[in-house]
Parts: sequence; C-alpha cells; structure tokens
Amino acid sequence: MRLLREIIAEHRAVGDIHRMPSALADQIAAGEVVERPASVVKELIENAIDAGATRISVLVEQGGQRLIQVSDNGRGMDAADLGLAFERHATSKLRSTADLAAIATLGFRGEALPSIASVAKVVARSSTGPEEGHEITVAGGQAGAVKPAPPVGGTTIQVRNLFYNTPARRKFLKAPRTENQHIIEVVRRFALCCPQIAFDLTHGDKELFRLPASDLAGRIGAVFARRYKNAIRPVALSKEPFTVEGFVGNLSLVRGRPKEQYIFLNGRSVQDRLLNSAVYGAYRSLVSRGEYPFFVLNISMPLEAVDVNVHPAKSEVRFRDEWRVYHVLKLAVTEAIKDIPGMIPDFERPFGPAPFPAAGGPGLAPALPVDSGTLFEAAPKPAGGEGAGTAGKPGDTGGGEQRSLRPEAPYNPELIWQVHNKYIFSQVASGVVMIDQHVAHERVLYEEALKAFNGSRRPSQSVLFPQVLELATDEYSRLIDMIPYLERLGFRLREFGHQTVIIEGLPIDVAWGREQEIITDVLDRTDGRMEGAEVFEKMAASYSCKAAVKAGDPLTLEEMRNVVDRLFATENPYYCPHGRPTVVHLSAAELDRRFERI
Amino acid sequence: MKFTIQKSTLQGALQQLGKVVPSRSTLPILSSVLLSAKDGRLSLRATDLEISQIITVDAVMSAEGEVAVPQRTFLEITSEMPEGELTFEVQKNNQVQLTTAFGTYSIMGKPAAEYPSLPSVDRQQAVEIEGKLLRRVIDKTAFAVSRDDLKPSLMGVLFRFQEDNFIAVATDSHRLVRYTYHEPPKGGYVGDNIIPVKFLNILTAYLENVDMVTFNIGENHIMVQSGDTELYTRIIEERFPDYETVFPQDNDKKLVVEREEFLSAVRRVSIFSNRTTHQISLKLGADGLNLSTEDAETVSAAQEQVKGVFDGEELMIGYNANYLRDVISHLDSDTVKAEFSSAVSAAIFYSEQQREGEELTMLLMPIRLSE
Ligand SMILES: Nc1ncnc2c1ncn2[C@@H]1O[C@H](COP(=O)(O)OP(=O)(O)O)[C@@H](O)[C@H]1O
Ligand SMILES: [Mg+2]
Repeated sequence: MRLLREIIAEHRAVGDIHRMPSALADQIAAGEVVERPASVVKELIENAIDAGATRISVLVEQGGQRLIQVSDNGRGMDAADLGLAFERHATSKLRSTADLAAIATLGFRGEALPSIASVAKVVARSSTGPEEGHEITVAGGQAGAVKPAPPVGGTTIQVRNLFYNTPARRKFLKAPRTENQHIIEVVRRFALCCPQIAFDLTHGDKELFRLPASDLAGRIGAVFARRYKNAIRPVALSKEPFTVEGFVGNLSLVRGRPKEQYIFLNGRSVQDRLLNSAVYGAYRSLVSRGEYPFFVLNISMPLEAVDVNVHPAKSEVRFRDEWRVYHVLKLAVTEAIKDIPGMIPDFERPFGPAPFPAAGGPGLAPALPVDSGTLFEAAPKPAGGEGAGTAGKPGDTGGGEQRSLRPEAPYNPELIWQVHNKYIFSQVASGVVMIDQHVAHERVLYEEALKAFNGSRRPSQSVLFPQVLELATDEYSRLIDMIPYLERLGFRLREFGHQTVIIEGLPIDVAWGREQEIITDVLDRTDGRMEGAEVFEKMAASYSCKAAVKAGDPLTLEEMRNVVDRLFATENPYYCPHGRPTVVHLSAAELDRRFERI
Repeated sequence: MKFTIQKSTLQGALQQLGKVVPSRSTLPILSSVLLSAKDGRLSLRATDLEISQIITVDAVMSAEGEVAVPQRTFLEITSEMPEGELTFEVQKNNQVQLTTAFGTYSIMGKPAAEYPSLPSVDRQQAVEIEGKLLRRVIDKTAFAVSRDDLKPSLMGVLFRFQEDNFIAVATDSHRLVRYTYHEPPKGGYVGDNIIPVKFLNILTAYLENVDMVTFNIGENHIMVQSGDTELYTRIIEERFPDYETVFPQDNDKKLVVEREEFLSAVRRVSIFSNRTTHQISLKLGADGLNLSTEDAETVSAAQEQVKGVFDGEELMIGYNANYLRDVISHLDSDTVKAEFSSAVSAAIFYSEQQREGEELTMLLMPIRLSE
C-alpha cells in the first residue's frame, strides 16, 4: 500500500506557494467582516457615526442582497479620501500604535469598505461642503476613477448585488425576510446606542423605523413598543472610573428568550456573557431560570481600560479588570430595582411618589391607583373618588380600620375581587393585577415558616376541642422529634401515650380541622436522612402548601386584603417556593390592544 | 296566571325575600322567586336550598298559575313603578307582562317546574318561644358561630330543649357561648337541633313585635311562622361537640373589671396589633390588668392599664383581640367577671349580675404569643 504522503508528494509541483491575487485576499478577509447583509449595514452605520452624522437613513431591498444604501449627514470625504477609503488598511482613525490603546471611534481597522467592495458593486458619493461632491464606483475590488458628482450633504454609500462574485457565501444567505430581521436588529442596536441620532430604515417601499432624535427612554418606546416606556426603571451609578446609565425593564418585560438585552460600552455595542450575567445576578430573586429581563445599559470607562481589538466584527471586548466592571454593573442594576413595588409590571406605587416622571401622558402619574379609564366601569369607586389626590393619605382609605398602619402594597384595596374563587383581581392605575390566591398565601406562609425556624416562634391559637392524632410506631417517633419545629410554626402538641398526640394549638392561618392533614403531610415529605436547612425548607414547603387557602376557597374582602398585603411584605412576592408566578399584570394598554382600541 | 296587586305590597315582599336569595349560586334558578296564584291567594317564595321563605300577600286574582321571576330585576322594576295598582300577567313562554297606569313592561320568567320544591315539615312537634327571648338568644350566641365550612356542626347554634330548661350554644372552637334559660319553652318538646346561623339572622328581623313564635320541628327541617311569613330551614345533621366537658372547673385566678372600660381599652389597643394574628396580651396582677400589643411588621405598639380587682397569682395571657372584644361586648352587665387558670387554657367570662331566669357564660381560648 502506498502512503498518502507519497501520493501527495507526487502531485505537488515545486514552488507551489504563491501570493494570492489581492482580490482573492480581500474576499477571504471580507469573510470575517461581511458575513451577511446585516454586517454591511453595521459597518456603514459605524462609519456614519464616526463621521459625526446626526441623521442616518438606511434603505434595503430584498433583504439587503439587491441593495443596501446608507446615507448620512456627516463630515463627508473629499476626492482624495474617497479614493483612499477603499484601499485596504486605509483609515483616518488610527495613526500610531499608541492610538490603538485608546480607541474612541467605532472603526479603526480600515478594512470594512475594501472588504465590502470586494464582494459587491459599490457606489460611494460624498461631499464635504455645499459646492461639489465626488463619487467612486468599486466592483469586485476593482476601483474606478473618482469623478465629480452633485453634493449629497454628507456621504451615501450604495452596495448592490452583495456576494455576486462569491457563490459560496450567497448560498448561505437566508430568505430575505430573515436577513431583513438581522438588519432591523442592527439598526435597533445603533438606535438604542445613539438616541441623539435620527435613524430611519426602509425595506423596499416599507418604512420600518422612523426615529427622530430623542432621549433614551423615548427611543426605547419608539424602537420597541410604547408600553416599554412605562415599564422601565432608570439606572444611574457612578463609581470612579466607571459610569453605568440606562434603563432596566420591570417584570412585564421579562421574556423567555435572551433577545432584548443591550449593553453599550463607551458607545460600542458589546456582547459579553459576564456583563449580562452581572445584570441577571441583580435580578436573581425576581426572575427564575430561563427568563430574561429587558435592559439597555451604557457603560463608560477610560478607553485604556478596555481592548476592543479582539475580533474584526469588534463586538467582543477584553477588560483590564473584568470583575470590577462586573460588580459595578451589578450594583447599578441592584440599586435600580431595589424598589420592589416599582418592579411589579406597570405599577404606580399606591401612595408614594411616582418612581420617575411619567414622560408623556397628559394625566401624569396619579397619586392613587384609582380607575383611570374604561375598565370595570360598574365597579364601586373608592371613597376618595378621582379627585385631585385628596385621598392620597394612606389613612383615608376607610373600610379596613387598621389599614393606616400597614405597609403599602401595589394594589388597590378598594377595587379588589375574587374570581372563580381562585384568583384575586385588583384594578390599578395601569391596568389589572391578578394574584393566585393559593400561591400567594403559600409564599407568605413559606417565608413565615422559615423565619419561625430561624428564631421567632409563631403564635398559637389554642382550641377548645383538640384533635387526637394516632400514628404508626416509626412515624410516631419521628413526629416526637419534630415537635419542637412544629411548635415554632404555631402548633402546640402534647404526647398522649399509645402513639397518639393531642393537637392543642394551631397556627393562626390554620383553620381548625385541617391540622391532621397538615401534620401528616409534613411527616410524609421529610425523612430521617435529611439534615439542617433541607429539613427546614421541606417542612416549610409542605406546611405552606397544605395550610394555604386553596383554589376554590371563597375569601372575604378582608381576607383578600390580608393575603395580598402580606404577600407584598414578603422578600420575594413574585414567585412561589416552587418557582410559579404569584402575580400577573395585565396592562390597560394591553387590554386596549386586544379590543383593538389602539 | 293573572293578578292585580298594590305596588308597595309586592315591593315589600320582594325586598324581604332578597335576604334568602343567594348572591351567587351554581343553580341559576335560585336567583329567582317563585310566584304562585292558587285558591285565591298569592304567595312568593325564595330559597337557597337550605333556607326557604314564603310570603303570602293580598292580591286580586284573575287566573291561577305559577312562574319564577328573577328577584333582583323584578325588585328593581317594581321599585321604580308609581304607587298604586299593578297588574301581573303571564303570557306564553313564561313571558311576564306588567301593566300600570303609565304603561306596560315585560320581562322573561322561567317555568315554575324548574324551581326547587318546598321541604315538608311534619308539624307534630312544636315548641313555643317568646319572641323577645328568642331575639336575645340569637343576639347573644350567633356571633360565636364558625364561618368555616370544614366543620359544618359549628356553622349553627345548638338549641337544646330539655325538660326543665332550654340551652343555646355556639362555638367556633376558639370561643364558646352558652346561654341557659331556666324554664323550658311551652310545648313539651325535648331534643337537640343545630340551626344554621343564616336562618337565625333572617328570623330575628321578624321577632321585633311578636309575642310568641312556634318552632315546628320535623325530621330534617324546622318551620317558623310569623304573620304572613313562613320560614323553613334545614337542620344541620351533625354531632355538636361535647361542650360541657370543656368548661373548666378549677380556674382560681379571678378578675373583676368595669365592662365599658375594659372593652374600650381592648378596642384601642387592638388597633395596634398585628393584622393577621390580632394578638394582644393581658398581664393580670393586683391592680387589675395591663393590656399591651406590639407589631414588628408595622412597628407599632400600645399598652393600657385597666383598673380592677384580681385575686390569684400573676398571669400573662394572650388573646386574639377580636375574639376578646366580641366576648366582652356580648356580655351586658356593668361589671365583667373572668376566671383564668393558665396561659394555655380556657378562661370563663360572665356578667357579674346575671339577668333573672338566665345564665350567660362564655369561654375564650388564649393565643400562645409569638416570641
Ligand atoms: N460615511 C463616511 N463619512 C466619512 N468618512 C467615511 C465614511 N465611511 C468611511 N469613511 C472614511 O473611510 C475610511 C475607511 O473606512 P473603513 O473601511 O470602514 O475603515 P475604518 O472605519 O476602520 O477606518 C474611514 O477611516 C473614514 O475616513
Ligand atoms: Mg469603518
């Protein structure tokens, strides 16, 4: 048998190494920069931003494959620059190695335009003043001459027939719809990064974005949906030498896919797991696994503290001290969301000051979450009516006598209903809050139980007719061991001999008659092999699940208020011990949308 | 079916029936009242399947018949009608037409056959009670009835008719009231019946100016008649807990206090108690008692001293303030006596001067306070 090596040797001609034709080299390099139409859009917008544009228009046809055109009103290029711009490694942004350590512009490698022009037909038009402009055509890497042209008030670059000369690339292009999605995402990203720049995006004859210059909150509302504007909380933290600014979404914007998370570092979009995880870390107790909060955050730091020259696409970065950045970011977000009631989807706090000025909306944030519109018109109005905040003092709510002493919870105790003997609905300014009564009560009891194990014993209501509980031998001895913990929960048990105990006192939340079922369940769900915290958690979970009101139990008004007040006083009101949500918010805007009012 | 009736008569009857009609029910027909014109009389009936009420009223009959009409709607319409006569006529498909001097109105009725039938009460066994006495019994006991349907036997008041006395007992297992009347009611009936509290609350409204009421006691139901109204109730067929054995015999720590003072102190202090546990504590000592409460959740606290005479070892005991308040407010002498044993056992509360011919005693179970 002949060796493979020999066969290769036979076919190999001497002196086979050669320089690639520059067109081929450009095409290979282009592979790294220009992956798909969206990459072209990205590079061209970066150039426009670097040129100081305040308005950028993007026009694409057929998912960008037929045409991508980016026009800006930036400083433009003169005839000489226009000629150089398409040469490899030609840049106006970097002159020395020292500059590389502190890159302030989005571009710096000088390879975007030549790469694009090697795989498409490009026409670039630019003017530096009102008098005259120039244009150059480059196709498949072959540059034509720079010719005079009418002024365009900046630069317009037209890219036609992308990948016309690289069939391999072309094959990998997805349907125009999909490519267009990627383009939209690129434009959205820049739009969020630079709200002070006006953007528009047109696909064929369809206008997809028309974004006037704005502040970030306004831009978020314009880029996503208007409701986002009322569902975000500002982030602002300065910790030398870092600054973190932007917005994080409340729980109504939590999504099941990682899609709406934006971090900009010194004005550059970056994708960095560590930074994302810093934000998720701050949310930890509010969202469960597989849920992703919304955020748009700008981090500023000294240019030297970060290296952006990691990859040609420039979206990866390296930090000199990544853990510092991590902690500052996490702290900033933690600060922003620590005001829990504000994190509940779309709530105004019932009586406190509005979390931040409700931009737009003629009514401004009402002091009371009274009915703001068309829903539940037949419902009784709160005693204070909709007057100019006269009912703003917590003591004025009437009805519940002891209300004035309670912490405020983000619901309206006057407009509260039980639905299907299962859910508690309350009307708030922004819409409707819906609470699962069982899960809510379970969360309350769970936290109370854990607290009881860790110190403060719960009170116990003695009963006139104590129940007797008889158990099998092994269970009996286990129950005897457990008595001290059951007592902390508020049970009072007495050994009665013959494998029986008498239950003489009950936790306040346990109705007489439920005690046997609860205690046997706690026994069933724990066993002798468990230790320490695990036993406590298991006991608390079993107790809270069994002792909580059930779906199907009718509740009085006072009972509903009590459960909801206590729920919002827990450390983690939004999820039950098993991770199911306790509270869902349906915004008035969402209802309006469903009824096709807007 | 056709009759003519005074608007005010009809309105009055519908209003009264509204107390029986369930506010929500799985059986839609129960939101209707049944009208029957028969033998020259018009009767209106409502039921929630446990309690039924029939009111017979004056009307001028033209044609016999029966129909069920939604109570709320019917009452609303009738209330808006002008004073005077009103003609009610059932047309085909249970369509009801009302005619007044001003116009005609029509609403949809339901076939009478869908309406539940009236329970039959065998009238052999009867007890007669003074209206005033019965009112007092209901007033003193109904508050202690349990609202938790896990224990149906506690959702009513036990009426115990005995050879030489009559006892009424109510409890929710945290507190208990026992009312004893030292004479047996007339009629010679002896027996125990647990009567639903909702029935008693409806009944009490009819007792205001009534000398004597008759309880007609059947196998499963009781019927009480008062004027043109008949009220029926199901008897709760459960075993009432053995309440006599829980009365403590040796509570040796005795307190005597002014009732009003005690009550208002409890009211004030309880405002500051935890809204879930409502726990307040009583420190009993030589000068009377010290009431206090503390709520970590809302960072509120209160304490008050109430003068009184206390005989026995010092004791610290906790209560649900609402229960304590209920107990004191349902006693009616100027001074209250209470007897305690320990921080985990029942205390007895009663009036210092019992009324002639009766004895009212209450038991209250404490809360072991949280740490
Ligand atoms: N829209 C534009 N307006 C003004 N100058 C531009 C524009 N686009 C490109 N240029 C010039 O062309 C040069 C080359 O662009 P590019 O190939 O993207 O490299 P880089 O952005 O890395 O410098 C830039 O450095 C800039 O001077
Ligand atoms: Mg560039």
